[in-house]
Amino acid sequence: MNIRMFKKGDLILIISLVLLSGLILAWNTFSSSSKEGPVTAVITQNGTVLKTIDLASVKNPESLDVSQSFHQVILVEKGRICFSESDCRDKICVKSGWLTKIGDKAVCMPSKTVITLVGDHQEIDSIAY
Amino acid sequence: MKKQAYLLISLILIALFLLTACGPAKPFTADDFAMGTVITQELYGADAQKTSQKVIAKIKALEALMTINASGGDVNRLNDQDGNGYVAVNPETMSVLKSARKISELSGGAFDVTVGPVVKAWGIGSDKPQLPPDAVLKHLVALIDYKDVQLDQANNRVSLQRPGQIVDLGGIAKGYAGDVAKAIYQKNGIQSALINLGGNVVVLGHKPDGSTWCIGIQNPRSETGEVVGVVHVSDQAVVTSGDYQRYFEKDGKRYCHIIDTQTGYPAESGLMSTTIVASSSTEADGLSTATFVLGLTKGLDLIKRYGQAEAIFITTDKKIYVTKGLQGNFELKDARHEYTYVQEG
Repeated sequence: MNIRMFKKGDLILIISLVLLSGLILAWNTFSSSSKEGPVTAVITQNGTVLKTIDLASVKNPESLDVSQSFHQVILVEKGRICFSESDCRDKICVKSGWLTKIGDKAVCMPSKTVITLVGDHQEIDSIAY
Repeated sequence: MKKQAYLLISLILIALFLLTACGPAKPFTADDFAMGTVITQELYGADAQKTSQKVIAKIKALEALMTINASGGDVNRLNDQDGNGYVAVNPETMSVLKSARKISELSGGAFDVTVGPVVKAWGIGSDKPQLPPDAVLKHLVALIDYKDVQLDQANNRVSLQRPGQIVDLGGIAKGYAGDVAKAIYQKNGIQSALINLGGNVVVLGHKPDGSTWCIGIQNPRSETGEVVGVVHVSDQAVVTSGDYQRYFEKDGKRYCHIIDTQTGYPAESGLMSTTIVASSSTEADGLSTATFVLGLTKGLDLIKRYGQAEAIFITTDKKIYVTKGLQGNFELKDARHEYTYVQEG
């Protein structure tokens, strides 16, 4: 071990850099993704994004009217979102119920409206059904 | 000596910084509607958005060729000329019909694209599903025979032998579209992508961090999005057929959309779902339907004879059978402990 290979200044620099990278690593691991991390709801209609909502920051329940070819309402509350009303035929969108976790998805085929919950830490990439 | 050591340590530190400062790469994602379903794509790399648009345009073109819900496509022109000689078709239609033929032969007709007349009579998934009379079904089942689809490959022509026959590519066209999408990704320099065509999943490569893709298998008796397990795959298709996707109920009985080509009635083979993992999405699509119709024992035998696929079968008595080659990549995620996991030998 020849510690004298470096000057004192070098050592301080190296140690502080190591500490700094450690801090950044810790920040990346724990801040943005503790448990599941922030959950964002993305609402698209016919492939176009209508709205993105950070579900954690929703304070009061809100109804979004996304009616186009059908009468359709999406309800957003803190941490969850759902299709609450639709006059499409099978109402599969409404029956999908609340979406709460990353990867959850509700689709209305007739109105071509999709709600997807996205986030950094997704356990499952896609579902075969 | 000192200088070299200093340089080395600096390099390590720079590498450390690069590793820690960058978050995970974000994919480009898109939801589109085609082939009567929702299509989700997830692409990494440059040109992701443009490539995804090319894929959707291509899928819509394939849909126009192969649909039976709108006139003018290859398959409808073929169906209009039932018992009336050859019809010229696009090479891609020919390619799908060829793959269909292969799976039909291998499965002894459990998968058969000439099931059309029976599918139409039931109308499952349409506005007016109904239970056709026994006699009608008997008559229509007699029209099912894949050998009556004659392929003139040299001239890209196809004929349908008998009047009244209808080709329905609903059990294989989405599978083909998955393979086509993967080829388009590759051609455009994408190394990492996933496409989900109404439940048919195809992945290209690994994820950008080198890990495998985690594909959930839908729990056949829970709400959409709840899985019974996860398969870890790269460069493969994961295709599921189940009795829960499209069905109608009459007098308390559930009639699913997958027809047993022997009886003309919805398949009741003791399976709730079959999942095929294979490199060909087209063939996996046909195989998932065939194995669903055949049931557990004959289905496993079919997978063995095909030789290039692995499978997950879920029986109505809630057992999950996983073939040998997949056991190392399958993870049971049965949150409510409803299912029994059986490792097939």
